[in-house]
Amino acid sequence: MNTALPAINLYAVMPQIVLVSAATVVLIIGLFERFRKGIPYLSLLLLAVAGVFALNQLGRGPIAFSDTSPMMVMDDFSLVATLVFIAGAVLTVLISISYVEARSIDRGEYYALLIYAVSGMSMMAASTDLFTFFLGLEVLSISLYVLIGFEQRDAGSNEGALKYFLLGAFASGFILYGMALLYGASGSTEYEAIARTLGEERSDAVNLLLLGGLGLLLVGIGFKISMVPFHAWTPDVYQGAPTPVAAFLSTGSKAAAFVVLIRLLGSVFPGLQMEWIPLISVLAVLTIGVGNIVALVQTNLKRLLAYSSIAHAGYMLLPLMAVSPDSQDGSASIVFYLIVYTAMNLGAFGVLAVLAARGIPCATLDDLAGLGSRRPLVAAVMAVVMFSLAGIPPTAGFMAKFYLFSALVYGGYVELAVIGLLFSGVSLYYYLRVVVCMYMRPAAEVPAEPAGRLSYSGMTALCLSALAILAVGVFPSELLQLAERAVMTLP
Amino acid sequence: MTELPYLSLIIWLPVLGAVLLLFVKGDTAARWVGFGVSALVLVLFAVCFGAFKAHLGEPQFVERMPWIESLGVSYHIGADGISILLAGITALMWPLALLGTWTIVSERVRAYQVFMLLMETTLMGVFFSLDLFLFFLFWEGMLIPMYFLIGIWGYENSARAALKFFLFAVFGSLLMLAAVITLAFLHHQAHDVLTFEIAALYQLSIPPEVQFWLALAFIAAFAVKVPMVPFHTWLPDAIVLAVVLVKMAAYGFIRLTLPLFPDALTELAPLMCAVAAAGIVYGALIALAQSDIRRMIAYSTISHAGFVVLGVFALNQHGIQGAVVHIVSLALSTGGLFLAAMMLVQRRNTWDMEAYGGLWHTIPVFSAFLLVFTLASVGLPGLSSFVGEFLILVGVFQRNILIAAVAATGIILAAVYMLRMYRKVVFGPVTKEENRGIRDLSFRETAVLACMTLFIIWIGVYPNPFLRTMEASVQKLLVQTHRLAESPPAGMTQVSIEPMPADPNGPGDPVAPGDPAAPGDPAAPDGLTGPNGPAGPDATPDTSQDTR
Repeated sequence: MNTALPAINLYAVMPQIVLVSAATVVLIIGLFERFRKGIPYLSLLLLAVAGVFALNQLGRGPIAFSDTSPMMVMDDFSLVATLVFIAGAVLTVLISISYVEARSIDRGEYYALLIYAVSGMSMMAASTDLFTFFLGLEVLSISLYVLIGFEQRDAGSNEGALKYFLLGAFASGFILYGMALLYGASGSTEYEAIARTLGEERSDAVNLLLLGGLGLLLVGIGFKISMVPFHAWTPDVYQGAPTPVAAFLSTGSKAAAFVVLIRLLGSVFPGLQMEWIPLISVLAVLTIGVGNIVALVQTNLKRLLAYSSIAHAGYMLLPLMAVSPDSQDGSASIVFYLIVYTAMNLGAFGVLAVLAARGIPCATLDDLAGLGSRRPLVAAVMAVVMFSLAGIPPTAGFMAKFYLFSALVYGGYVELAVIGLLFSGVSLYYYLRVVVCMYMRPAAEVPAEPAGRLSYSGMTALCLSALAILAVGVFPSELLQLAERAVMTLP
Repeated sequence: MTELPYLSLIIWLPVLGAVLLLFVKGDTAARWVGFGVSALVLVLFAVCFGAFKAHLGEPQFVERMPWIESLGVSYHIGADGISILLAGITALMWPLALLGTWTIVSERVRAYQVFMLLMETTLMGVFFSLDLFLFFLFWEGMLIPMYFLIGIWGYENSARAALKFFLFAVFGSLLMLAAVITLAFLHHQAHDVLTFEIAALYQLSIPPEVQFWLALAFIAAFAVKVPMVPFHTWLPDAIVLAVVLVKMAAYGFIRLTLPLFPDALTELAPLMCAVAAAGIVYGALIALAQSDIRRMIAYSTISHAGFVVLGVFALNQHGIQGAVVHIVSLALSTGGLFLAAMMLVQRRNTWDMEAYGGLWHTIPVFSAFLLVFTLASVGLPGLSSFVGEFLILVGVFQRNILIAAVAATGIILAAVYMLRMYRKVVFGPVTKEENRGIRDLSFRETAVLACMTLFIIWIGVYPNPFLRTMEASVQKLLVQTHRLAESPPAGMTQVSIEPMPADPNGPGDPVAPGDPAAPGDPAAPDGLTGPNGPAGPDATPDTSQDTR
């Protein structure tokens, strides 16, 4: 018998292997009741291990999974993305601890699923083949379906899970169908092969297949990043999901889809630029517009944040157009924005999660009245996050917006930059309403609230994200360089 | 001079103070920290001002460090004659304002001091930035402390006012941000270097039609904050900070709009002048109809801001110098007026003019100070506003007689509404019983107002030190502004040879600006000796030190 193993390099998928093993370990240990309290800390530890590993590999050049059929690659881009996902997961775990305890859903599976989701995201980021992309996507999606519905006794949580599941299944269907078309056109599922087909002379039929394939992929990915018109699920799901899960959903899963989008549009489909640039620009402007305008009238905080996250997805779509072979500014600015956005949104949802864990009402804007004097530290974090989301210096949000819109202007899209900037002016209204409620409205009619400290772990996460936002806002150089280096290895 | 980074210290010291405040317990301690830090900034500034060489016209005390290299941004600060004057009035006003509102602000004192200090930082940053990105950062960052100051310590409807102000301001700034990015991009295209250096951007030659749009974007940002009609509607609700904003926005006009977009100005300047003149009259007319002191001051500020803009867009030496002097004097006169009014309202709790009357009999010291500020706002010769308004009108007169004439009516109207207010509040018999037992100014309040009065008189009587400080810088700016403009009479030479109209009101004679060797200009640069004597008989040692 001669079963020669294909020449593969397992080392190239080490980050994913570490993450999957970590999740499995957490899952198994979570079965033992007596270790229940320790599970989150074990998760943090294992996530940190994965993070250290990824950090260690940074800058060592790309390593392909296999020379003959690449499938996955460990390059700076995927490593930086993985690091962002891990950081997001760490913060999510920190804000989860008190929340899931308060809701009596503190089971080991919760943290295991979270880490599985991260491994899926990391797979998506590293994929150089449609198969591995889909694999990662499904690992992520299935974990999220369960996580969203984790509060079994809560109707909203169930509703959200079902909605996300149904629409997610459709999105997966679209993506699969698109993949089939691309395979039909190029005879391969590898990104490189598809890119090669695009570079050659091709018949009209092949062209149609490629276009159709790309279009269907965009629909599926558009669902994940809640791009208009595929955004309708977002507010309901965010509102229903356990708050830390909503935080994770709005940052991690969105970031993962964006990472794939950068790789696909930047390296695989530049040949179809003439076709997708107008499409994306229209959709991006629509996304920004709908997100920002509908957010203006929201009174529920989670829905407000949901629409704000739709708007931010729109901003991040814009520089995709500026991605060209001779300038990496566009993709670098998206990576930078994603990092900052992760910190901001986790901070915002984190505040809600930490308050909710203590039983302090924080569902609507009115609930926040007087928070500035009731809970000064949390309110300060929220204010920082809101100013950052609105893009006011000296916060990271400003730097991110500045870099993003610069890339757009340098790419020659001044009009789009102006539209984006004006809408970000609109967004100030609803972000500031939160600040107004916290600081400028007396907490007269607020019922006596539960006393006691907020959870230390949650506050650690909040302070970390607020400090990160301010630090990056003042000294963005290092992070900018990281983002630039991440996209440097992209073909 | 030692090599201390003075400007950085001036900029960042208040931030340190704000951090320190987080660890301070108790209102009084917080007040002292806030006042102490801002006083320290004033001392530092005084040292800096003493070493400033006015004849150079170049930015001095320059500090430069790479900051965000991949974006071409550097931490580059320096002060020229214009910025040092505006920074100076800020440094002076801050301890005075904190001292003046010592007891007026009685809620959340610590947070108030923190935000005031943060605002001082951003203001100084705006004045000293030599990098456009840095400028924008401070410019936009200022909104945060300002927003809280208006929203928390403002008067009725303040939360709404804060939001309104913020939205107005941000829309303007965002347009400017787009223009800033475009400028850097154009520079990159032309020279293959990504930079936000203001001096480098000055050298760009931009196609006129592009300039037009960029200039409009910048003007939008500044016009909102000046505030120019029709972007003024936030002001009456948020008057507290109006004076500060006028300063910043006018500086933005002078530093950026003029030299960056010379071609666009040939089209835009007349328009801006016309709008400014309309604003002067509009603000004055509305002020005439107010019975609420605060709203009257607000509208008078709109009117005065019109003068400043008018002076800037006269695009000549007199106009710009006048504008800068007027900004400084506005800070003193309107700031003083408002501070005095706040002191009064603290005692009686109403802004309605009709509620007062006969104060001269009950609180003479207060009434005397109010008189000074009122007359200064009216533009009485010998007080600060006169110098600014006169220079501005001289500048505009060379451009357009009609607009100058319209603007001049603003001064007349100012006399009407200001004196009407004064008459209602101070003169006549005491009609309301509540006004009888009213306390006169305390020592602290007297000291604050006296200090401002001193400067008002000094600038009014002997403005030369101030004019000379910025003269070279303004000239340099004008050379820059007129480099491409086609109209020859607007050149730099015109400034020094043009005939000066005789000024019948001797003391305020601004002959000096065009000619450093004019008679009446003492050889010694020390403005404290000689002519200043009669102006400030009660000049205490510490105030004279501050101004050097």
